[in-house]
Amino acid sequence: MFQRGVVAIGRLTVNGIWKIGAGTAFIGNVIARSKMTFARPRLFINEIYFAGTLSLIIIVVSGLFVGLVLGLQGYETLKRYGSAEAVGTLVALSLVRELGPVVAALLFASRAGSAMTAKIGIMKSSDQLSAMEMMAVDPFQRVITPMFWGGFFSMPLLAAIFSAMGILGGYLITVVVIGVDGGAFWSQMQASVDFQGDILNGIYKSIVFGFAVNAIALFEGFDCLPTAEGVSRAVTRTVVTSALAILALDFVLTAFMFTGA
Amino acid sequence: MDEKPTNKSNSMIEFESVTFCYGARKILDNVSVSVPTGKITAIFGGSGTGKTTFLKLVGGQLAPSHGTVKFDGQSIGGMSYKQLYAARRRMGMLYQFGALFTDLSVFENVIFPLREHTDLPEQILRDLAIMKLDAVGLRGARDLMTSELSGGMARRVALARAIALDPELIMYDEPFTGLDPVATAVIANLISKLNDALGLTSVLVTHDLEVSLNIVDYCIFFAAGSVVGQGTPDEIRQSDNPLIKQFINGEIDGPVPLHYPASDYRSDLGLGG
Ligand SMILES: Nc1ncnc2c1ncn2[C@@H]1O[C@H](COP(=O)(O)OP(=O)(O)O)[C@@H](O)[C@H]1O
Ligand SMILES: [Mg+2]
Repeated sequence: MFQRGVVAIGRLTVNGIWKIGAGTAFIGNVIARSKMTFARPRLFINEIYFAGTLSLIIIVVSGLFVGLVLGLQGYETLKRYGSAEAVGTLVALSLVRELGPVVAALLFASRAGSAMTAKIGIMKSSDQLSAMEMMAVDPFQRVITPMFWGGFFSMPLLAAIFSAMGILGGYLITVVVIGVDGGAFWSQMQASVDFQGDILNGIYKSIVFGFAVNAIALFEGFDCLPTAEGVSRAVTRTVVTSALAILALDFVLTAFMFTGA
Repeated sequence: MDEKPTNKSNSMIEFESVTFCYGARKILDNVSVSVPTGKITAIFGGSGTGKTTFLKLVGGQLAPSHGTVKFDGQSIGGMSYKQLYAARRRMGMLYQFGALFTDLSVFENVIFPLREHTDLPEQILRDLAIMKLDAVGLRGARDLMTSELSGGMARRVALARAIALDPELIMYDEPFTGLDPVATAVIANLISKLNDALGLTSVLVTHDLEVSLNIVDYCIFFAAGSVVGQGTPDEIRQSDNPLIKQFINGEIDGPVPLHYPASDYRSDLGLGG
Protein backbone atom coordinates (compact mmCIF):
# COMPACT_ATOMS: atom_id res chain seq x y z
CA MET A 1 0.00 0.00 0.00
CA PHE A 2 2.65 2.44 1.15
CA GLN A 3 4.96 1.19 -1.54
CA ARG A 4 2.31 1.67 -4.17
CA GLY A 5 1.82 5.25 -3.04
CA VAL A 6 5.51 5.97 -3.34
CA VAL A 7 5.60 4.44 -6.79
CA ALA A 8 2.61 6.54 -7.86
CA ILE A 9 4.19 9.74 -6.55
CA GLY A 10 7.45 8.88 -8.26
CA ARG A 11 5.72 8.20 -11.54
CA LEU A 12 3.74 11.45 -11.37
CA THR A 13 6.92 13.39 -10.65
CA VAL A 14 8.87 11.78 -13.47
CA ASN A 15 5.99 12.26 -15.92
CA GLY A 16 5.62 15.86 -14.81
CA ILE A 17 9.28 16.62 -15.27
CA TRP A 18 9.32 14.82 -18.59
CA LYS A 19 6.36 16.86 -19.76
CA ILE A 20 7.89 20.17 -18.69
CA GLY A 21 11.04 19.24 -20.61
CA ALA A 22 9.10 18.19 -23.70
CA GLY A 23 6.97 21.33 -23.51
CA THR A 24 10.01 23.57 -23.28
CA ALA A 25 11.64 21.84 -26.23
CA PHE A 26 8.37 22.22 -28.13
CA ILE A 27 8.22 25.96 -27.54
CA GLY A 28 11.88 26.32 -28.42
CA ASN A 29 11.08 24.59 -31.68
CA VAL A 30 8.11 26.86 -32.37
CA ILE A 31 10.20 29.96 -31.88
CA ALA A 32 13.19 28.63 -33.80
CA ARG A 33 11.00 27.81 -36.81
CA SER A 34 9.06 31.07 -36.92
CA LYS A 35 10.63 32.45 -40.06
CA MET A 36 7.96 31.25 -42.45
CA THR A 37 5.21 32.80 -40.33
CA PHE A 38 6.63 36.25 -40.76
CA ALA A 39 7.70 35.70 -44.35
CA ARG A 40 4.10 34.80 -45.16
CA PRO A 41 2.03 37.19 -43.03
CA ARG A 42 -1.17 35.79 -44.49
CA LEU A 43 -0.63 32.61 -42.54
CA PHE A 44 -0.70 34.29 -39.22
CA ILE A 45 -3.24 36.95 -40.08
CA ASN A 46 -5.57 34.03 -40.75
CA GLU A 47 -4.77 32.71 -37.30
CA ILE A 48 -5.35 36.08 -35.63
CA TYR A 49 -8.70 36.03 -37.34
CA PHE A 50 -9.33 32.45 -36.17
CA ALA A 51 -8.34 33.10 -32.54
CA GLY A 52 -9.82 36.60 -32.48
CA THR A 53 -13.21 35.92 -34.01
CA LEU A 54 -13.62 32.79 -31.92
CA SER A 55 -13.15 34.78 -28.74
CA LEU A 56 -14.53 38.18 -29.63
CA ILE A 57 -18.19 37.69 -28.73
CA ILE A 58 -17.49 36.05 -25.41
CA ILE A 59 -14.89 38.72 -24.55
CA VAL A 60 -17.23 41.59 -25.39
CA VAL A 61 -20.22 40.20 -23.54
CA SER A 62 -18.27 39.09 -20.48
CA GLY A 63 -16.38 42.39 -20.33
CA LEU A 64 -19.65 44.27 -20.33
CA PHE A 65 -21.14 42.19 -17.54
CA VAL A 66 -18.02 42.29 -15.40
CA GLY A 67 -18.06 46.10 -15.77
CA LEU A 68 -21.73 46.25 -14.77
CA VAL A 69 -21.07 44.23 -11.63
CA LEU A 70 -17.93 46.18 -10.75
CA GLY A 71 -19.85 49.43 -11.14
CA LEU A 72 -22.68 48.24 -8.90
CA GLN A 73 -20.47 46.80 -6.18
CA GLY A 74 -18.03 49.71 -6.29
CA TYR A 75 -20.81 52.27 -6.11
CA GLU A 76 -22.51 50.55 -3.14
CA THR A 77 -19.23 50.45 -1.20
CA LEU A 78 -17.85 53.91 -2.10
CA LYS A 79 -21.20 55.56 -1.39
CA ARG A 80 -20.74 54.74 2.31
CA TYR A 81 -17.64 56.87 2.37
CA GLY A 82 -19.22 59.63 0.36
CA SER A 83 -16.93 59.19 -2.62
CA ALA A 84 -19.21 57.64 -5.20
CA GLU A 85 -17.48 59.56 -8.03
CA ALA A 86 -14.34 57.50 -7.44
CA VAL A 87 -16.19 54.50 -8.86
CA GLY A 88 -14.71 55.30 -12.29
CA THR A 89 -11.21 54.92 -10.84
CA LEU A 90 -12.09 51.69 -9.13
CA VAL A 91 -13.64 50.15 -12.22
CA ALA A 92 -10.78 51.20 -14.48
CA LEU A 93 -7.98 50.13 -12.16
CA SER A 94 -9.53 46.75 -11.39
CA LEU A 95 -9.93 46.12 -15.08
CA VAL A 96 -6.66 47.25 -16.56
CA ARG A 97 -4.52 45.87 -13.74
CA GLU A 98 -6.21 42.55 -13.04
CA LEU A 99 -9.54 41.57 -14.45
CA GLY A 100 -8.89 42.55 -18.04
CA PRO A 101 -5.75 40.44 -18.55
CA VAL A 102 -6.79 37.59 -16.24
CA VAL A 103 -10.41 37.07 -17.20
CA ALA A 104 -9.73 37.65 -20.88
CA ALA A 105 -6.97 35.05 -20.74
CA LEU A 106 -9.22 32.55 -18.96
CA LEU A 107 -11.92 33.08 -21.57
CA PHE A 108 -9.38 32.88 -24.38
CA ALA A 109 -8.05 29.58 -23.02
CA SER A 110 -11.47 28.01 -22.84
CA ARG A 111 -12.62 29.29 -26.21
CA ALA A 112 -9.66 29.63 -28.57
CA GLY A 113 -7.13 27.53 -26.64
CA SER A 114 -9.37 24.49 -26.52
CA ALA A 115 -10.16 24.91 -30.21
CA MET A 116 -6.44 25.01 -31.04
CA THR A 117 -5.77 21.86 -29.05
CA ALA A 118 -8.65 20.09 -30.75
CA LYS A 119 -7.55 21.21 -34.19
CA ILE A 120 -3.95 20.08 -33.78
CA GLY A 121 -5.04 16.88 -32.03
CA ILE A 122 -7.44 15.99 -34.83
CA MET A 123 -4.84 16.79 -37.46
CA LYS A 124 -2.45 14.49 -35.64
CA SER A 125 -4.86 11.63 -35.09
CA SER A 126 -6.08 11.68 -38.69
CA ASP A 127 -2.49 11.68 -40.01
CA GLN A 128 -2.79 15.17 -41.49
CA LEU A 129 0.40 16.36 -39.78
CA SER A 130 2.23 13.25 -40.85
CA ALA A 131 0.93 13.63 -44.41
CA MET A 132 2.21 17.19 -44.46
CA GLU A 133 5.63 15.98 -43.39
CA MET A 134 5.65 13.46 -46.20
CA MET A 135 4.84 16.27 -48.65
CA ALA A 136 8.06 17.86 -47.41
CA VAL A 137 6.09 20.61 -45.68
CA ASP A 138 7.10 21.14 -42.07
CA PRO A 139 3.91 21.11 -39.99
CA PHE A 140 5.65 23.19 -37.36
CA GLN A 141 6.29 26.01 -39.77
CA ARG A 142 3.10 25.67 -41.73
CA VAL A 143 0.50 25.03 -39.01
CA ILE A 144 1.74 25.29 -35.45
CA THR A 145 3.92 28.38 -35.52
CA PRO A 146 1.39 30.63 -37.27
CA MET A 147 -1.24 29.51 -34.76
CA PHE A 148 1.09 30.35 -31.91
CA TRP A 149 1.88 33.85 -33.12
CA GLY A 150 -1.70 34.52 -34.16
CA GLY A 151 -2.91 33.65 -30.68
CA PHE A 152 -0.02 35.50 -29.09
CA PHE A 153 -0.87 38.77 -30.82
CA SER A 154 -4.59 38.35 -30.26
CA MET A 155 -4.35 38.06 -26.51
CA PRO A 156 -3.36 41.67 -25.60
CA LEU A 157 -5.91 42.99 -28.09
CA LEU A 158 -8.64 40.88 -26.55
CA ALA A 159 -7.63 41.94 -23.04
CA ALA A 160 -7.81 45.59 -24.12
CA ILE A 161 -11.24 45.06 -25.61
CA PHE A 162 -12.34 43.33 -22.43
CA SER A 163 -11.19 46.27 -20.30
CA ALA A 164 -12.78 48.82 -22.60
CA MET A 165 -16.10 46.97 -22.53
CA GLY A 166 -15.86 46.70 -18.75
CA ILE A 167 -15.33 50.43 -18.38
CA LEU A 168 -18.27 51.02 -20.68
CA GLY A 169 -20.36 48.68 -18.49
CA GLY A 170 -19.27 50.53 -15.35
CA TYR A 171 -20.19 53.83 -16.97
CA LEU A 172 -23.60 52.59 -18.05
CA ILE A 173 -24.62 51.29 -14.65
CA THR A 174 -23.24 54.10 -12.48
CA VAL A 175 -23.62 57.20 -14.64
CA VAL A 176 -26.52 56.37 -16.92
CA VAL A 177 -28.61 54.20 -14.61
CA ILE A 178 -27.71 55.28 -11.07
CA GLY A 179 -26.93 58.91 -11.87
CA VAL A 180 -23.33 59.40 -10.70
CA ASP A 181 -21.85 62.55 -12.20
CA GLY A 182 -20.37 61.68 -15.59
CA GLY A 183 -17.72 64.40 -15.58
CA ALA A 184 -16.40 63.24 -12.19
CA PHE A 185 -16.48 59.59 -13.33
CA TRP A 186 -14.18 60.26 -16.29
CA SER A 187 -11.94 62.93 -14.78
CA GLN A 188 -11.15 60.95 -11.64
CA MET A 189 -10.40 57.93 -13.77
CA GLN A 190 -8.13 59.97 -16.01
CA ALA A 191 -6.31 61.49 -13.06
CA SER A 192 -5.58 58.25 -11.26
CA VAL A 193 -4.93 55.66 -13.94
CA ASP A 194 -1.25 55.80 -14.81
CA PHE A 195 -0.19 54.81 -18.32
CA GLN A 196 3.11 53.26 -17.34
CA GLY A 197 2.18 51.78 -13.98
CA ASP A 198 -1.29 50.51 -14.75
CA ILE A 199 -2.00 50.21 -18.44
CA LEU A 200 1.41 49.03 -19.60
CA ASN A 201 1.73 46.57 -16.74
CA GLY A 202 -1.68 45.19 -17.66
CA ILE A 203 -0.53 44.75 -21.23
CA TYR A 204 2.65 42.99 -20.11
CA LYS A 205 0.52 40.62 -18.11
CA SER A 206 -1.64 39.74 -21.07
CA ILE A 207 1.44 39.19 -23.20
CA VAL A 208 2.77 36.69 -20.66
CA PHE A 209 -0.62 34.99 -20.39
CA GLY A 210 -0.91 34.88 -24.17
CA PHE A 211 2.45 33.16 -24.42
CA ALA A 212 1.54 30.63 -21.74
CA VAL A 213 -1.96 29.79 -22.99
CA ASN A 214 -0.95 29.39 -26.63
CA ALA A 215 2.09 27.33 -25.71
CA ILE A 216 0.01 25.04 -23.50
CA ALA A 217 -2.81 24.69 -26.04
CA LEU A 218 -0.54 23.83 -28.95
CA PHE A 219 1.68 21.52 -26.93
CA GLU A 220 -1.28 19.58 -25.57
CA GLY A 221 -2.65 19.17 -29.08
CA PHE A 222 0.68 18.08 -30.45
CA ASP A 223 1.37 15.76 -27.53
CA CYS A 224 -2.05 14.06 -27.37
CA LEU A 225 -2.62 10.37 -27.89
CA PRO A 226 -3.79 10.11 -31.49
CA THR A 227 -7.26 8.80 -30.69
CA ALA A 228 -10.66 10.42 -30.14
CA GLU A 229 -10.31 9.98 -26.41
CA GLY A 230 -6.77 11.30 -26.44
CA VAL A 231 -7.91 14.50 -28.16
CA SER A 232 -10.77 15.08 -25.74
CA ARG A 233 -8.47 14.60 -22.77
CA ALA A 234 -5.96 17.00 -24.24
CA VAL A 235 -8.66 19.65 -24.61
CA THR A 236 -9.59 19.28 -20.96
CA ARG A 237 -5.95 19.51 -19.94
CA THR A 238 -5.53 22.69 -21.97
CA VAL A 239 -8.34 24.43 -20.12
CA VAL A 240 -7.27 23.24 -16.67
CA THR A 241 -3.54 23.80 -17.08
CA SER A 242 -4.05 27.20 -18.68
CA ALA A 243 -6.30 28.36 -15.86
CA LEU A 244 -3.77 27.30 -13.25
CA ALA A 245 -0.90 28.85 -15.17
CA ILE A 246 -2.74 32.15 -15.63
CA LEU A 247 -3.61 32.47 -11.95
CA ALA A 248 -0.18 31.46 -10.72
CA LEU A 249 1.60 33.76 -13.18
CA ASP A 250 -0.75 36.57 -12.25
CA PHE A 251 0.28 36.29 -8.62
CA VAL A 252 3.97 36.33 -9.50
CA LEU A 253 3.63 39.25 -11.90
CA THR A 254 1.48 41.25 -9.51
CA ALA A 255 4.00 40.74 -6.75
CA PHE A 256 6.73 42.14 -8.97
CA MET A 257 4.75 44.95 -10.58
CA PHE A 258 2.51 46.44 -7.97
CA THR A 259 4.35 46.15 -4.68
CA GLY A 260 6.34 49.05 -3.32
CA ALA A 261 4.86 51.27 -6.03
CA MET B 1 10.92 1.26 -67.43
CA ASP B 2 13.53 3.79 -66.41
CA GLU B 3 12.78 6.87 -68.44
CA LYS B 4 14.18 9.43 -66.07
CA PRO B 5 17.78 10.30 -66.79
CA THR B 6 19.00 9.89 -63.22
CA ASN B 7 21.68 7.45 -62.21
CA LYS B 8 19.15 5.30 -60.44
CA SER B 9 20.03 2.23 -58.51
CA ASN B 10 18.06 -0.90 -59.21
CA SER B 11 16.52 -0.71 -55.78
CA MET B 12 14.54 2.34 -54.85
CA ILE B 13 14.41 1.25 -51.21
CA GLU B 14 16.94 -0.87 -49.38
CA PHE B 15 16.74 -2.06 -45.80
CA GLU B 16 20.05 -3.33 -44.47
CA SER B 17 19.63 -5.33 -41.26
CA VAL B 18 17.11 -2.85 -39.90
CA THR B 19 15.84 -3.27 -36.37
CA PHE B 20 13.21 -0.97 -34.99
CA CYS B 21 11.90 -0.88 -31.43
CA TYR B 22 9.17 1.01 -29.63
CA GLY B 23 10.69 1.14 -26.19
CA ALA B 24 11.67 -2.41 -25.38
CA ARG B 25 9.36 -3.91 -27.98
CA LYS B 26 10.97 -5.03 -31.22
CA ILE B 27 8.70 -4.21 -34.16
CA LEU B 28 11.13 -4.99 -36.96
CA ASP B 29 13.88 -7.48 -36.25
CA ASN B 30 16.94 -7.41 -38.46
CA VAL B 31 15.06 -6.88 -41.71
CA SER B 32 16.96 -6.81 -45.00
CA VAL B 33 14.86 -6.30 -48.12
CA SER B 34 14.92 -4.20 -51.20
CA VAL B 35 12.18 -2.74 -53.34
CA PRO B 36 12.93 -2.78 -57.08
CA THR B 37 12.78 0.50 -59.00
CA GLY B 38 9.95 0.95 -61.45
CA LYS B 39 7.86 -1.94 -60.16
CA ILE B 40 4.87 -2.38 -57.89
CA THR B 41 5.93 -4.20 -54.76
CA ALA B 42 3.40 -5.50 -52.28
CA ILE B 43 4.14 -5.83 -48.60
CA PHE B 44 1.85 -8.33 -46.96
CA GLY B 45 1.43 -8.97 -43.28
CA GLY B 46 -1.21 -9.21 -40.59
CA SER B 47 -2.30 -6.27 -38.49
CA GLY B 48 0.39 -4.96 -36.21
CA THR B 49 3.29 -6.64 -38.00
CA GLY B 50 5.03 -3.34 -38.65
CA LYS B 51 3.90 -2.48 -42.18
CA THR B 52 3.13 1.15 -41.42
CA THR B 53 6.35 1.30 -39.43
CA PHE B 54 8.18 0.12 -42.55
CA LEU B 55 6.74 3.01 -44.57
CA LYS B 56 7.54 5.55 -41.87
CA LEU B 57 11.13 4.36 -41.83
CA VAL B 58 11.33 4.96 -45.57
CA GLY B 59 9.91 8.47 -45.15
CA GLY B 60 12.37 9.20 -42.37
CA GLN B 61 9.55 9.84 -39.90
CA LEU B 62 11.00 7.11 -37.73
CA ALA B 63 14.66 6.22 -37.40
CA PRO B 64 15.84 2.61 -37.13
CA SER B 65 17.34 1.46 -33.85
CA HIS B 66 19.97 -0.46 -35.82
CA GLY B 67 20.77 -0.79 -39.49
CA THR B 68 20.41 1.45 -42.51
CA VAL B 69 17.44 2.48 -44.62
CA LYS B 70 18.39 3.66 -48.08
CA PHE B 71 16.27 5.62 -50.52
CA ASP B 72 17.60 5.58 -54.07
CA GLY B 73 21.02 4.58 -52.83
CA GLN B 74 21.26 7.24 -50.09
CA SER B 75 21.03 6.49 -46.41
CA ILE B 76 18.02 8.27 -44.89
CA GLY B 77 19.67 8.33 -41.48
CA GLY B 78 22.70 10.16 -42.86
CA MET B 79 20.68 13.00 -44.38
CA SER B 80 20.47 16.51 -43.01
CA TYR B 81 17.06 18.07 -42.39
CA LYS B 82 17.29 19.78 -45.80
CA GLN B 83 18.30 16.61 -47.62
CA LEU B 84 15.53 14.66 -45.94
CA TYR B 85 12.95 17.20 -47.04
CA ALA B 86 14.39 17.13 -50.55
CA ALA B 87 14.11 13.33 -50.54
CA ARG B 88 10.51 13.51 -49.35
CA ARG B 89 9.62 15.68 -52.31
CA ARG B 90 10.42 12.64 -54.42
CA MET B 91 8.05 10.45 -52.41
CA GLY B 92 4.29 10.36 -52.24
CA MET B 93 2.38 8.62 -49.47
CA LEU B 94 -1.23 7.57 -49.50
CA TYR B 95 -2.53 7.19 -45.96
CA GLN B 96 -4.98 4.57 -44.92
CA PHE B 97 -7.88 7.01 -44.61
CA GLY B 98 -6.55 9.65 -46.96
CA ALA B 99 -5.44 12.17 -44.33
CA LEU B 100 -6.98 14.97 -46.37
CA PHE B 101 -6.93 18.42 -44.84
CA THR B 102 -10.41 18.74 -43.44
CA ASP B 103 -10.51 22.52 -43.55
CA LEU B 104 -9.76 22.67 -47.28
CA SER B 105 -11.80 21.78 -50.35
CA VAL B 106 -10.86 18.92 -52.65
CA PHE B 107 -9.25 21.35 -55.05
CA GLU B 108 -7.24 23.13 -52.34
CA ASN B 109 -6.07 19.78 -50.99
CA VAL B 110 -4.64 18.75 -54.34
CA ILE B 111 -3.07 22.13 -54.95
CA PHE B 112 -1.55 22.30 -51.45
CA PRO B 113 1.87 20.71 -52.13
CA LEU B 114 2.23 22.77 -55.31
CA ARG B 115 1.45 26.00 -53.51
CA GLU B 116 3.96 25.17 -50.81
CA HIS B 117 6.79 24.20 -53.11
CA THR B 118 6.42 26.30 -56.23
CA ASP B 119 5.88 29.93 -57.17
CA LEU B 120 3.76 29.06 -60.18
CA PRO B 121 1.02 31.50 -61.10
CA GLU B 122 -2.48 30.67 -59.88
CA GLN B 123 -3.74 29.79 -63.36
CA ILE B 124 -1.07 27.12 -63.86
CA LEU B 125 -1.59 25.71 -60.38
CA ARG B 126 -5.25 25.43 -61.19
CA ASP B 127 -4.61 23.58 -64.43
CA LEU B 128 -2.17 21.22 -62.76
CA ALA B 129 -4.63 20.41 -59.98
CA ILE B 130 -7.35 19.75 -62.53
CA MET B 131 -5.05 17.40 -64.43
CA LYS B 132 -4.17 15.49 -61.27
CA LEU B 133 -7.84 15.22 -60.33
CA ASP B 134 -8.67 14.06 -63.81
CA ALA B 135 -6.08 11.31 -63.50
CA VAL B 136 -8.06 9.86 -60.59
CA GLY B 137 -11.42 10.53 -62.26
CA LEU B 138 -12.56 13.24 -59.87
CA ARG B 139 -12.26 16.38 -61.93
CA GLY B 140 -15.95 17.04 -61.34
CA ALA B 141 -15.62 16.83 -57.58
CA ARG B 142 -13.13 19.64 -57.15
CA ASP B 143 -15.44 22.02 -55.35
CA LEU B 144 -16.63 19.50 -52.76
CA MET B 145 -15.46 19.67 -49.18
CA THR B 146 -13.63 16.63 -47.86
CA SER B 147 -16.55 15.79 -45.56
CA GLU B 148 -18.73 15.23 -48.62
CA LEU B 149 -16.55 12.46 -50.03
CA SER B 150 -17.06 8.72 -49.73
CA GLY B 151 -14.17 6.62 -48.46
CA GLY B 152 -13.09 5.59 -51.93
CA MET B 153 -13.31 9.14 -53.28
CA ALA B 154 -11.31 10.51 -50.36
CA ARG B 155 -8.55 8.06 -51.13
CA ARG B 156 -8.55 9.02 -54.78
CA VAL B 157 -8.31 12.70 -53.88
CA ALA B 158 -5.44 11.85 -51.55
CA LEU B 159 -3.85 9.99 -54.43
CA ALA B 160 -4.17 13.04 -56.66
CA ARG B 161 -2.51 15.06 -53.92
CA ALA B 162 0.24 12.47 -53.49
CA ILE B 163 1.15 12.66 -57.18
CA ALA B 164 0.93 16.45 -57.31
CA LEU B 165 4.70 16.86 -57.04
CA ASP B 166 5.40 14.12 -59.60
CA PRO B 167 7.09 11.75 -57.14
CA GLU B 168 9.31 8.86 -58.15
CA LEU B 169 8.16 6.65 -55.31
CA ILE B 170 4.65 6.27 -54.05
CA MET B 171 3.66 4.34 -50.96
CA TYR B 172 0.15 3.11 -50.29
CA ASP B 173 -0.78 2.24 -46.74
CA GLU B 174 -3.64 -0.25 -46.85
CA PRO B 175 -5.47 1.49 -49.67
CA PHE B 176 -8.29 -1.09 -49.83
CA THR B 177 -9.32 -1.20 -46.20
CA GLY B 178 -13.00 -0.53 -45.70
CA LEU B 179 -13.86 -0.15 -49.37
CA ASP B 180 -16.57 -1.99 -51.29
CA PRO B 181 -15.45 -4.32 -54.10
CA VAL B 182 -16.05 -1.75 -56.83
CA ALA B 183 -14.13 1.00 -55.08
CA THR B 184 -11.37 -1.52 -54.36
CA ALA B 185 -11.12 -2.42 -58.03
CA VAL B 186 -11.06 1.27 -58.98
CA ILE B 187 -8.15 1.98 -56.64
CA ALA B 188 -6.27 -1.16 -57.70
CA ASN B 189 -6.67 -0.17 -61.31
CA LEU B 190 -5.43 3.34 -60.57
CA ILE B 191 -2.37 2.07 -58.73
CA SER B 192 -1.44 -0.08 -61.67
CA LYS B 193 -2.20 2.60 -64.28
CA LEU B 194 -0.34 5.36 -62.49
CA ASN B 195 2.70 3.21 -61.99
CA ASP B 196 3.02 2.64 -65.72
CA ALA B 197 1.95 6.08 -66.89
CA LEU B 198 4.19 8.03 -64.53
CA GLY B 199 7.12 5.64 -64.42
CA LEU B 200 6.79 5.30 -60.65
CA THR B 201 8.03 2.85 -58.11
CA SER B 202 5.12 1.76 -55.97
CA VAL B 203 4.98 0.12 -52.59
CA LEU B 204 1.63 -1.33 -51.70
CA VAL B 205 1.09 -2.28 -48.07
CA THR B 206 -1.97 -4.42 -47.67
CA HIS B 207 -3.52 -7.58 -46.35
CA ASP B 208 -5.80 -7.93 -49.31
CA LEU B 209 -4.02 -10.68 -51.18
CA GLU B 210 -6.63 -11.46 -53.79
CA VAL B 211 -6.79 -8.01 -55.37
CA SER B 212 -3.12 -7.25 -54.99
CA LEU B 213 -1.60 -10.36 -56.53
CA ASN B 214 -3.16 -9.34 -59.85
CA ILE B 215 -1.48 -5.95 -60.03
CA VAL B 216 1.88 -6.31 -58.30
CA ASP B 217 5.23 -7.41 -59.70
CA TYR B 218 6.84 -8.50 -56.47
CA CYS B 219 5.70 -9.53 -52.99
CA ILE B 220 7.29 -9.37 -49.58
CA PHE B 221 5.72 -11.14 -46.59
CA PHE B 222 6.12 -9.81 -43.07
CA ALA B 223 5.32 -11.75 -39.93
CA ALA B 224 6.33 -11.07 -36.37
CA GLY B 225 8.77 -8.36 -37.42
CA SER B 226 10.68 -10.39 -39.98
CA VAL B 227 10.51 -11.08 -43.66
CA VAL B 228 9.21 -14.62 -43.98
CA GLY B 229 9.05 -14.87 -47.73
CA GLN B 230 9.29 -12.97 -50.97
CA GLY B 231 8.88 -13.53 -54.68
CA THR B 232 6.78 -12.86 -57.74
CA PRO B 233 3.02 -13.39 -57.47
CA ASP B 234 3.33 -16.76 -59.24
CA GLU B 235 5.99 -17.94 -56.86
CA ILE B 236 3.82 -16.81 -53.96
CA ARG B 237 0.79 -18.69 -55.24
CA GLN B 238 2.85 -21.86 -55.51
CA SER B 239 4.68 -21.38 -52.24
CA ASP B 240 4.57 -24.16 -49.67
CA ASN B 241 5.78 -21.86 -46.90
CA PRO B 242 3.20 -22.52 -44.15
CA LEU B 243 3.07 -18.84 -43.13
CA ILE B 244 2.27 -17.71 -46.65
CA LYS B 245 -0.22 -20.52 -47.10
CA GLN B 246 -2.01 -19.51 -43.94
CA PHE B 247 -2.24 -15.98 -45.26
CA ILE B 248 -3.47 -17.02 -48.70
CA ASN B 249 -6.07 -19.42 -47.41
CA GLY B 250 -7.15 -17.23 -44.52
CA GLU B 251 -6.79 -19.95 -41.93
CA ILE B 252 -7.52 -18.82 -38.42
CA ASP B 253 -4.76 -20.54 -36.57
CA GLY B 254 -1.46 -21.62 -38.01
CA PRO B 255 2.11 -20.50 -37.71
CA VAL B 256 0.68 -17.05 -36.99
CA PRO B 257 -1.07 -17.82 -33.74
CA LEU B 258 -4.61 -16.70 -33.03
CA HIS B 259 -3.82 -16.20 -29.37
CA TYR B 260 -1.81 -13.40 -27.94
CA PRO B 261 0.85 -14.96 -25.67
CA ALA B 262 -0.84 -15.71 -22.33
CA SER B 263 -0.44 -17.77 -19.23
CA ASP B 264 -2.00 -21.20 -19.04
CA TYR B 265 -5.75 -21.05 -19.70
CA ARG B 266 -6.69 -23.51 -16.95
CA SER B 267 -4.71 -21.71 -14.30
CA ASP B 268 -6.13 -18.37 -15.49
CA LEU B 269 -9.61 -19.69 -14.77
CA GLY B 270 -8.47 -20.82 -11.34
CA LEU B 271 -8.81 -24.51 -12.17
CA GLY B 272 -5.27 -25.32 -11.13
CA GLY B 273 -2.98 -26.76 -13.68
N1 LIG C 1 3.68 5.19 -31.36
C1 LIG C 1 3.74 3.89 -30.98
N2 LIG C 1 4.20 3.56 -29.76
C2 LIG C 1 4.29 2.27 -29.38
N3 LIG C 1 3.93 1.23 -30.15
C3 LIG C 1 3.46 1.50 -31.40
C4 LIG C 1 3.35 2.84 -31.87
N4 LIG C 1 2.87 2.78 -33.14
C5 LIG C 1 2.69 1.48 -33.42
N5 LIG C 1 3.05 0.71 -32.39
C6 LIG C 1 3.03 -0.76 -32.36
O1 LIG C 1 3.88 -1.23 -33.37
C7 LIG C 1 3.32 -2.36 -34.01
C8 LIG C 1 3.41 -2.18 -35.50
O2 LIG C 1 2.60 -1.10 -35.88
P1 LIG C 1 2.26 -0.79 -37.39
O3 LIG C 1 3.53 -0.64 -38.14
O4 LIG C 1 1.34 0.36 -37.39
O5 LIG C 1 1.52 -2.12 -37.82
P2 LIG C 1 0.69 -2.41 -39.15
O6 LIG C 1 0.69 -1.19 -39.98
O7 LIG C 1 1.39 -3.58 -39.78
O8 LIG C 1 -0.68 -2.81 -38.71
C9 LIG C 1 1.90 -2.50 -33.52
O9 LIG C 1 1.82 -3.66 -32.75
C10 LIG C 1 1.65 -1.28 -32.68
O10 LIG C 1 0.97 -1.65 -31.52
MG1 LIG D 1 -0.79 0.10 -40.54
